[in-house]
Parts: sequence; C-alpha cells; structure tokens
Amino acid sequence: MTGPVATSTTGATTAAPAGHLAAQARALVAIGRQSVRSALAVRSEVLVSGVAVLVRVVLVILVWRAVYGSTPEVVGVDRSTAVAYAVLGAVFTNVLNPFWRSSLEVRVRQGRIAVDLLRPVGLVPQTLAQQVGTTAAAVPRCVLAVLLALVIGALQAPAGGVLGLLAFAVSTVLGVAVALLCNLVVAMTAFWTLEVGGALMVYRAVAQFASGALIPLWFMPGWLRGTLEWLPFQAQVFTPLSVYFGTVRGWDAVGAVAVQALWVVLLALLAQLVWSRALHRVVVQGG
Amino acid sequence: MAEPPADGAAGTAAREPWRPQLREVSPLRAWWVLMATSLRVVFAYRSNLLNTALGSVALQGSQLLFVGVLLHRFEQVGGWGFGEVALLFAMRLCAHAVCTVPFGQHSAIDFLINEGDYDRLLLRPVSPFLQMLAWRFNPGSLGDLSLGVVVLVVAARLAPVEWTAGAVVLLVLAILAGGLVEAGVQFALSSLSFRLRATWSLKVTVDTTFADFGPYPLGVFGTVGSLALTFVLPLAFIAYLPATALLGRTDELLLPAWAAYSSLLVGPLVFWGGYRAFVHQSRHYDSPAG
Amino acid sequence: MIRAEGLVKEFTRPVRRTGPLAGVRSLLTRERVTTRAVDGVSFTVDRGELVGYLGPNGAGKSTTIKMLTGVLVPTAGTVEVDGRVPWRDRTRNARGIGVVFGQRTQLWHDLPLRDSFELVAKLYGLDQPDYQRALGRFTELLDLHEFLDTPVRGLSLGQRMRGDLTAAMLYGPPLLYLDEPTVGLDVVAKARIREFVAETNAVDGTTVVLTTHDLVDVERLCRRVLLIDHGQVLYDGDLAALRRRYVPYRDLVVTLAREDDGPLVAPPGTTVVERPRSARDTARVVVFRFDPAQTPTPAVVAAVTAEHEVVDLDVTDPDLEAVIAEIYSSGRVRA
Repeated sequence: MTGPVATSTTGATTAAPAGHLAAQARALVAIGRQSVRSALAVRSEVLVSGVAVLVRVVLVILVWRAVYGSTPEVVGVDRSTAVAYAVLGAVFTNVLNPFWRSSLEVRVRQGRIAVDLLRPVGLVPQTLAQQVGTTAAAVPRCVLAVLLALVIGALQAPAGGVLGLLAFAVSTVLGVAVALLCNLVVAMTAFWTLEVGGALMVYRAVAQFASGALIPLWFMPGWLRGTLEWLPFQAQVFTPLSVYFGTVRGWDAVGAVAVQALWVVLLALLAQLVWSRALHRVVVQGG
Repeated sequence: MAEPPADGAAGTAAREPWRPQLREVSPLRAWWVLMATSLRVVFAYRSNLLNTALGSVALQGSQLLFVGVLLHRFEQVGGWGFGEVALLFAMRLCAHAVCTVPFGQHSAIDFLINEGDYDRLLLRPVSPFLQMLAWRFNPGSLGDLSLGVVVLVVAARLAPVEWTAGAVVLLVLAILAGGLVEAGVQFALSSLSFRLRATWSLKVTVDTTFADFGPYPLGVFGTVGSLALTFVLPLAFIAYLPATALLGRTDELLLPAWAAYSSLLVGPLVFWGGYRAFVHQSRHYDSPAG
Repeated sequence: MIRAEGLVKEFTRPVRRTGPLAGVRSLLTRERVTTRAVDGVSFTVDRGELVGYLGPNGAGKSTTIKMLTGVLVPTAGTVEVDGRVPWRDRTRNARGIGVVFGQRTQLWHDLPLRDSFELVAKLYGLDQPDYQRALGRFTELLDLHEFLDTPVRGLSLGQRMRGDLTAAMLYGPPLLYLDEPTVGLDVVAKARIREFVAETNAVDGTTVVLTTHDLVDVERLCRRVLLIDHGQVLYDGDLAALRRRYVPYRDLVVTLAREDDGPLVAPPGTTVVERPRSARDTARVVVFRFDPAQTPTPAVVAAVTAEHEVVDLDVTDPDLEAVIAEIYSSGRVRA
C-alpha cells in the first residue's frame, strides 16, 4: 500500500495519458519510500519506538487483567476478549495517531508551498504518500508487538478463520485510509491558521478516544456510543477490531465495511473541497 | 578606513571608548528575565495560547474520559474506587503541570542542538540549562495546570480523605515533589540528546507512559511491574506513593509504609540528578557544522 | 588577548550508508568516522589588533571560532582568551566577548529590536544609565532610529546586522568576533558595517577577529591575516607582505594610440601580456608585467612611453582574490 492507494483516493489527477499516470505513480512511490527511510533514519528513535509499543502492550494487558479481576464477563464481553482488544487498540493507535505533524503544515509554515505546487505530482498525493510511508515504517514494530501478545497468550487468532482474517485485513486497510484522510483534513487547516499544533492535539485526543482505541465502544454508556457511531472515528479502529473479534459477522460485517468505505469516499470529497478552497486561498493571497 | 565616514559617525558621543562596568547577574535573575520575555511573547499571541492550551486539555481529558468510562463500567480498578482513582489522576496531572509550566522547555533540546541554536545559548553569560528552560513558553502547560486544578478540586471532594491541615500540606508537597520527579527524569533524557541527536520519541514515550498509566494503583501491574514502575521508571513517586498515604492504603505497598512519604525526598533528588546528568553530558556537545 | 596553541578539534559521526536498504544497514552498523576539522592551529592575537581569519568553506574557521568563544571544547591543545580558558570559564568569557554571525541572528525574533537590547543589557549586568548611554551611542553610530521598534523578523538583512552589532557591543566587550558580517549585504550596507568595525577597533581599542569571504572587507580592515585550510594555518602575517611575496609583479596597462604601432618593444625586466581584445576596445591595450623590486615603476613607464605613443596608462597590483585563490588551490603558501 504505497503510491497507488494515494492516487486513487484524491481524484486530483484528471484525464491524463497512461504514461503520465505511471510516472506520477513512480514519483509517489519514491516519495513514500523516502519517508519510510527518514522514519528509520535515526537508530535510537527506531529502537525506542519499538520498545515503546512493546511496553505499552504489556502495560495495557496488565491493566485490563486487573480491571476484570475475577469477573468473567462485563456487558457480554469476556476478559480475554477485552484484553486482546486492548492489545490491538494500542497497536492501532500507535500507527494511526502518532505524534508526528504533517509535512503539509511544515511546508505551509515555511512558505515552501508555492514550490510544492509547481511539482508535477499534486500536493495532496505527495502528502498522502508521505503519510503512507511513515505508516508503513511503523508496521514492523507493530508486527513485533502482535507476536509478543500472541506468545504470552493475550491475543488469539481472529474469529471466522481465513474469511474472518480477510475481512479484518480489508477493514484495517479502510480504517487506515479513514485515519489518513482525517489527518490530511486537519493538517490542511494550516492554510487558514499557522498554528495547527493545538488542532492536531485536539484531533489526536478525540480520535484516540472516539475511535475506540483506548476503550471499546461496548463499555461506553448508550448515549455516548450512539453519538460516536455517527462519527468517522469508530471506522478507524473499532470497526476492524469488531470484525476481528467477530462481534459483527456475516452481513453485519459487510455492512460495517461498507460504512467504512462510505467514510473514505466522504472524507476524500471533503479533503478535495477543503483543498480547492485552500488552493484558491494560496492563489489569491500568494501563499 | 579608506571609506568616507557614514552619517552620524562623526558625532561627538562616539569619540570616547566604550568600556562600561558590568554588574554580576545571578542565575535566578537571568532566568527570570528570559522567562518573563517568553511569557510576554506567548501572551502576545492569544489565539495560539488558547489553541495550544486547549490541545493539552483535550489530550489529558481523553485519558480522564477513558478512566471515567472504565470506572463507570467496572466500579473499581485494583481495589480503588472512583474517588480514589480521581484523586490519583488529579495529583498526577497537577504534578505534570508542576513539571511542564516552569521546566517544560526541556522538550526543545533536540531542536536547539540540531538547529545549532545551542551555540547561541553558549555565547551568553548564563547557564545554557536555564536558558533552555526559558527558551520559549509552551502554552499547553497552562492547559495541564488548569485541568489539573479543576480535577483536583473535584477529586478532593470525592475522595475518602479527611482534609486536615496536615493532609493538605502533604498533598501540596507531594504534588511539587511529583513534578520534580518528572522534570528530573526528562532532564536526564534530555542529556542524551548531546550524544544521540534525537531523544524526542524517548521523551514522548516516557511522557505518555506517565500520563496513561499514572492514574492506576500500582498493584494492577503486578509485582514485577510495580517494582519496574518504582525503580526503573519512577512513576510511583509522582503520585501513587503519596496518594496511598493520603488514602490510608499504605498496607497494599510492596514497600514499608514510610515509603509512601519517600517521594518528598526522592523528588528533589531525582531533579538534582537529572540536572547533573544534563550538565555532565553537555560537555559532549558537538556544534553542528555551520 | 588570544593565545591558541596546537588547537585540535575532531568530530566523530556515524557512517551514513547509501544504496539499497541504506536505512536498515546504518541502523545495524556501529561504524563511526572521525574527521579532524582543526589540526594543530597556533596563533596569538594582541590587544587592539584587527585580524582577518580566512579560509575556504570547510577549512576549520568556524570550528576555531567556536573553540575561541567557548562553544566547543578542543580535542587537544590549549586556548586562552584574556587569561581565561573559554570553555572552562565560559560564563566569564562570554561577558568579555561580542559575537556576530552574519548567517544567524542573536536577537529575539518576536521582539522589537529595542527589547532585544534591553534583554542583553539585563543579562550582561549593564546598569540602566549605562544602557541608555550605550543605546544612544549605537543608535547614532549605526543609524538605528527608524527601526528600533520593529520586531526583528521584520528587519531587512542590513538592519538586522546593525542590530546584531549593537547587541554585541552594547556591554562594551574588549573582544569582538565577526563571522561573515557582510554576507548578503548591498554595497552601502557593507560600507557602513566596515566603517563601524574600523571605528570600534580604532576608538574603543576593541580587538577584532573577522572571518569573511569578502576580500574587500579584508583589504579595507585588516593589516594582518591568518589563512587556514584543511584545519591548518597556511599563513599568518602582514597582508601587504603576503601580496608581495605571493605575486611579485606589477602590471603597467597601456592603451596605445594606434593599432598598427609596429612591433612591440618590451623594456628590459618586463614581459608583455597581451589582453584579449573586447568589442568595446577601440585601441590596442598592452600589459607590461614587471617586478617592482627589480625594475622601478617610473623606469618602466619611461621606457614604454619612449617607444610607443600612449593615450592612457595605469599601474595595477594583482588583486587579493587571485592571491587567495592560488593559495587555496595549491594548498600552501610560497616561501
């Protein structure tokens, strides 16, 4: 999931010859790889992020085991499911809500946006390719964390066998897409205010909680859960994990994935709209 | 010399050598002069101030919400009820604010070193450590402080504690000491920047570990976990240990009961140790090539 | 004022890999490479001197300056500034020096220039009356009136440099380091800065160490230069002597009245260097090159004008630029 994903979601490319499209795709793959490389550039950083996710996984396991104590089941969720959910939630949030700031914001702030606009590849695809690259760089440490959880028996294979695994994979990809698009829209506020730091922090906090990465929506009071189900955040983490644990299955699972796909489309349109407004702003005000 | 004099250069004031007498400036005064300036700059940009403070409130608030939902469902965590966990959370957050409001600029160290701004600090007759702390002011820390105080006031009513004068004094001292523990740890991590070039993830990891796992009674982490979070990463000293003293729960400690008060001593010690580590490692500073 | 002996500074950095899987490979390697930026530099600077410290990019200039100012700790060798070891007695040293970097401001970006000065005054322990006097003096000298209340980020480069110079001299340090103070400035701004530096040196007796790539700075300001390359001192001494030693010739440039003036006669002790003719040349320009130590200039002039009908003549010394360029490219100074 590098370049092609990015191009298809933006719709920024209009009717262009096939050779041109291929060149764009190559450029995007290069950008993605570059950001993988820069994410892995400093050894101490890589080691620390690796150890960090492992420690976090162990700690959430301990907390959730303690929370359950000897209670076998709360609101229909048993202890092992809750623990396993917490593990995957920690892993997901590690990838989807990192503390990095979007390259877009940095470029706007430094006034480099005018140069970026002149490049043959659109700015939005560029930004997405970078985000995908950074996300991809996080995959190895997450695989490690999942393996650790499997070894210490805090996680089981997904419900529903091979088909279940496939559904989980599809739902995860869509969840990542929703998260990246949300990130992009928030980062684009940089065109209106130079201080996106606060907005990104609020977004990160809301997304973490509302996506169900910290605590599953199952445990939330009815009114809260009802509200969160209408927001795009639950499509980032809660939906893939519900598929994983088989709490939605069969046609319900298909429906949940369809809702995710709908969010991808809606957010892509929103991003496009915000982007055209931003572009107008840059053109009128000269960046 | 070969050029014609510019306007004003011929003025009479310029003719006598300029060698003024300089007073000694105490480090504390220098720090305050710089800090006051940073504060003035921050308060000049109101929208940014509000924006960033709100971000911090949201970040800490999401954790509060999480703990709230958890207790709403499970009623207790590790044997601690809602009021007790609330007090622990509030003490941790207030201690965090004690760390971030005056000392939060340790987070600038990577930037200072890699962008060469640390050179600039070394050219001034003030300790670079103090200059770093006053480098800028992070308005987010005001978010930590305000949320912390609000939650503390509420939690103090909910917690099963009789608020005698002694208890209030212990609470205040414990929060201050907890802030010193956190600051000391972050200073020590910052000192690694002089060798590693990037300690940002390390610091964020420790910061979020404190924030996310601070509100639980240590017992939930098991024996190994508790010991690790006491002696490897001194989370226990930030709020948990003194909280057990306030809540009369010292019998659940793996350590003797007096250990509940040890953070009052450990705080200043860790703070001093972190500062010394910073000063020591700063000798390895290699200014980046111009 | 400054005494450096056998100064050495080494930097150790991890090896950067290139090629496929570069990231992963540099992650796994522990290989480090040591480079010697300054390699045994010794010199002294006396009180009141104005010394040009020259060298190509990467020669070790900045590293030396950083050791002199107490920013870097030398790997080996000793350095003493006004009787103090800068890195060991850093704070005290900092109070006695002014430092200006052309590339990077020392001022506070978000503050008006005046506030930056006030901060400097407080940090260096300048009394209020002294500060007012200093402010008046430098405002006058560097003509700061117009932008004293402008935030630093809104200043032009030239204005910022004047602000930086003021901030560095406000507390009257006896020693001033200038690192490329005129880089990027226009001719007028450059002249103003040079004039200020010369004045500071002459009137206040401030010792000045100047690094620059602008050789006009050097020619206008410095009597003595230190040339450094590959971390080693190539030349330390009088600028005029260097020029003499280096290019022991002088050119007599003559414009002949007619193109077909017959065969050129080179007087004894001279050689003829013919200039490529440009489209604008209406007459023939000929250069007679000679060694003024061997053949006096008047004699050459007399000899040439006796042989040819001349409409214009000029005597030129080779410019410093050519001298420096040759030293850099050959890597050594001729004996």
